[in-house]
Amino acid sequence: MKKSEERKVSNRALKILSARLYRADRRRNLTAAAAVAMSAMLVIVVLSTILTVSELVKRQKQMLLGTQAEGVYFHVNGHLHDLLKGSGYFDDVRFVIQLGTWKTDASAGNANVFYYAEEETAEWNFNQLEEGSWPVEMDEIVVDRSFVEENGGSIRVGSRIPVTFTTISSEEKVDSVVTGICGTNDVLGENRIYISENYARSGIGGYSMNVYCRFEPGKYTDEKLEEILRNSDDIVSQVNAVANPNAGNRPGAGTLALVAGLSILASACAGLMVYTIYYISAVKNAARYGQLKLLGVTEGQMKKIVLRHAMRQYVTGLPAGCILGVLFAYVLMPVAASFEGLKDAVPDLRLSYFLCAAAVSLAVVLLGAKKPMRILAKVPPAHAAVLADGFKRKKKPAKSVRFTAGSFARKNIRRRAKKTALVAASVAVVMVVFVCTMNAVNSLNVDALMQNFNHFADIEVATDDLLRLVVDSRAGLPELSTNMLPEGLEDRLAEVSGGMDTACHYGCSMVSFLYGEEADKFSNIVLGDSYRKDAEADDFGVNRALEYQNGEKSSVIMTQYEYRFYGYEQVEGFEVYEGSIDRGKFESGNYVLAVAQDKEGESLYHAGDVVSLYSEYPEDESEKQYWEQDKNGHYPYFDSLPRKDYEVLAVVGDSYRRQMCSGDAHMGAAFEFVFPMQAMEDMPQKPGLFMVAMDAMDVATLERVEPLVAELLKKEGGEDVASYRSRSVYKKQLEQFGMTLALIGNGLAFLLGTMFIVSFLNSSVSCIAERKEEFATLQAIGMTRRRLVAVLWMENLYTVLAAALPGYIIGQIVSFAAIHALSGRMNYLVWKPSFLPGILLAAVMCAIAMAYPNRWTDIGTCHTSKM
Amino acid sequence: MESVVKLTGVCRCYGEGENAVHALSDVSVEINRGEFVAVVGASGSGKSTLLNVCGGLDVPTSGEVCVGGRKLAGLKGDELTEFRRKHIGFVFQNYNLIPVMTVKENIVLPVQIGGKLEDRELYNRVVNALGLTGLENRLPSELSGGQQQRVAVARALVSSPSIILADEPTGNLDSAATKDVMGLLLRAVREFGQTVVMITHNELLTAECDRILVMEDGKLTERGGAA
Repeated sequence: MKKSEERKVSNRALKILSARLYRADRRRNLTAAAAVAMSAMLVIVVLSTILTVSELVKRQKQMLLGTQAEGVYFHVNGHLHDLLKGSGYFDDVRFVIQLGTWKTDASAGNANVFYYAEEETAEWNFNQLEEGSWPVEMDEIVVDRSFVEENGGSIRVGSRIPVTFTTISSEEKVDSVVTGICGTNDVLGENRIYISENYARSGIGGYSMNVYCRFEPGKYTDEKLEEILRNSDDIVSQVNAVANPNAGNRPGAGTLALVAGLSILASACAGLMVYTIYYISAVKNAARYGQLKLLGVTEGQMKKIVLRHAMRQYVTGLPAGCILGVLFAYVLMPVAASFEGLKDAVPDLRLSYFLCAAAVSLAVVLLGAKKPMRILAKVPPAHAAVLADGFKRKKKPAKSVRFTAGSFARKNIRRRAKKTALVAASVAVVMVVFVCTMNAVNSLNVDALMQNFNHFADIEVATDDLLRLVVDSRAGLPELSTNMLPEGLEDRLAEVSGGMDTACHYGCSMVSFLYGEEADKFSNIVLGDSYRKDAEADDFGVNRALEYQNGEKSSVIMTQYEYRFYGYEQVEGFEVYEGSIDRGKFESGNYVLAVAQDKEGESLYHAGDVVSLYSEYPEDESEKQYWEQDKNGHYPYFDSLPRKDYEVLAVVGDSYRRQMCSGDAHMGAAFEFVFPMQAMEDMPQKPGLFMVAMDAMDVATLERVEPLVAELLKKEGGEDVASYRSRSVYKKQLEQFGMTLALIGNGLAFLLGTMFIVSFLNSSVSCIAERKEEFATLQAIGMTRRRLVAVLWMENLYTVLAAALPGYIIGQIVSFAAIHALSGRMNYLVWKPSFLPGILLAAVMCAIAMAYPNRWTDIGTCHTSKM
Repeated sequence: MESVVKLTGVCRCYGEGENAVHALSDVSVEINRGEFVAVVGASGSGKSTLLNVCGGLDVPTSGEVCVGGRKLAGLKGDELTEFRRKHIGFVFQNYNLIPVMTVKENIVLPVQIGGKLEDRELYNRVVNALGLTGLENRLPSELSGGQQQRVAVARALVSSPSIILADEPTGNLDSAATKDVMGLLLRAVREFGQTVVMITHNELLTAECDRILVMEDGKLTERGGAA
């Protein structure tokens, strides 16, 4: 017979044999397949959720990823544009003017934005013109593909469509002509309209100027881009970058490390399970494989049989794991995303994740089967019933010892030190992780954090960005200009909030210049306030004060004065440090209240001082010509603007009743002056509504009004336009955080617990199999089976308790140290240990330890036969 | 006569020093083709050790073992396994059938894993001779002890080995089945020209044997003369 034919015959025989053996050990093989499925599932879940969340967070936070970028947006003024252009860092710098939002009958929301830019600049932003031409006339627009979809898909070049353009300072409905359709920038998630230069310059106003700076891909890191901006100009307070078109593609090192760590853990767990199953199978089937050896099955053929089993488990487990991975990814994604405040996030399931899962599972199954495969292949034909430590015979003669159950158990633990150590280590690790998690969750004091919110209103309506700062607890000046609520919202809210005590917060800001003594005083006050100083990066005033004191820029402090507008009924609740708030004078329009810069009442101004504030102000303060400085570093244009004198009526604190002036107080930033509501009309810059705060007199009113407010805001355009928070929402978010913490920690403990069970089983089963003859002998000489089982229980208990107790103590110490360290920054973490869960876990572990062997376990009889 | 198995000065020792056990002491024997040899002796006399050494399942401490003219000492691992598969058939007290394979599959397994197809004519002869016709698709668990032992004998015969080593083949059988199996082994020798070495402690079964070897304290003698 030819060799190839011989091979065919033997392979066929092996195939049949392998299939029969696989079926005979069905239960164990299915468990191994389940382990493979688990590893595949975990890899997919980990990759798809964590990487997706990471990418979404980066996009949401509009991070710079210079290493992948071709360009970056910066929020600038004309002066900065010139500086950046002349800096030599960028290949080109072009304006992109962001004007505001648009809406049509079919579409509204904050994602609908309109811009002015040159055609080439738009093309850099993936808005390349696909049809038509760039707008020239006042009513001409270019729309992107998403605009077309949002408006029913029938828009063409030449279509006419009424579009309402809303900026901070205006709203105008224009019967627009679509002259072109461009591609959509999917990364930014915007629906864009480009208007003509003519329309942009027509005085619609209220726009924000961005520049798009192009550079060679990968040339600059995030840090370098921030440094370039900060070093470019003294009026830049923070890096306010709009999304880089390529931003968000690459997860950070931390995310990758987390993903890698979890994947390794999952794979290790699965691999250990597979290894254990194979090991148990090898031990239990040693006799059978010995038979095969006797019949002439070679080592190589034995390995082939085991490998066939392994591949069969892989082929069974992998598709199941992939399906489960997809399902769990969709289940877990909202949980993971909510942790970062993301909504409607779906897992990004890429082919590469499935390939990765396939590779990992294959590695798991091959590595798990490797040693058992070698063991089985080497089973000697004549002594297949014995599988003890590589078939080595003990050289030392046995010492005779006085037999007690305890000594027997301890002796055995010492004999099997390596395997026992593995079980003990897994017990200890599980205990540490579990205890730390329980303590962390128990120490989470939601009420303590909610104490901080006592001075906030029951319901606060503002933009989502503004409200987020509450959760972030950062100090810093919010961008009021981009956080204004829709006009007239306060009236609409009033219609639904009957019975609530409502306070509307109006504000505007205008630049201000401080020289000499005023500058000194300002910087001392601001930098003397530790809370503001801590928020340095986000606080405009602090940055300017620091530059002034360090002598970096000039002898002028350029700051931004924030004005607030309240009715007398609101201001009479303010804390007064100097002077008094006379109603008549306050409402006359000739007086202002100066706000103290800190809680001690420090202020630039005193009661009776006269302050000169602008009575005229440029519509677009960022225009380049306004920012020319003279040789003394002053800004002549602004110095020349007409002003009105106001007398400071009183110096007040920035709080009233039990509310702080929300928005500012949330961020801990300061504002400078309080005007009466009546003065709003006369302001050179139109104040806007940025927050509506409502307090309920009773719970029933709050419960009635809150859903009405939610409904109203939904109709207004949802969270893209305005959002709200109530104490119950904060509380729910915090409680969810606690649940997420418990989920993650206990999930990890569960995973590790699985490893404990697996390694325990491995140790127990192989121990019994290896010592069957020994047990048979013991039984033959009179030891009852019950007593023998009890001895084995004692061995397991010794092992578990000896590891659980130190694990418990270490867990308490580690969690104490960690919580103590974190509670300085997180006042809602208050050390409160939980003792009982760890004790219960130890009890569960002991119960598991005593579950095997049990009365059904074959530990051999005194009639164990040999081959 | 052609020698199938030849042991020369074979010793097998377990343990060391005071605890050393000499299972075989300077055993020399030659077994010729077509002989039905019984090995008898008390428990612990070394009968099974002798069989294991002859079958390549155990390695002698010293001495030489030749099977089919080939020294076993030079064979290792897969080579030894293949040699054993081709030249030595085993029949054990516990039958040692593969429980997940049918009777037919058990019988042909040693031949097929070696890459050969079974000799159909031989197979049919063996199956008929051993009364296994109609049982081929059954699993071992569905057979009686005697039937299982027949399958074991059939398995040993179908691969046409040089020698069949039977370790207490009737140990687990009742008298009727014992008689049956003994008859089969005799037929294997007489009809199929096999050489059979059988261990037994039942003296009655040695009546039909050509030679009787006696193991006592590791030493081998032949009843009625030297080994």
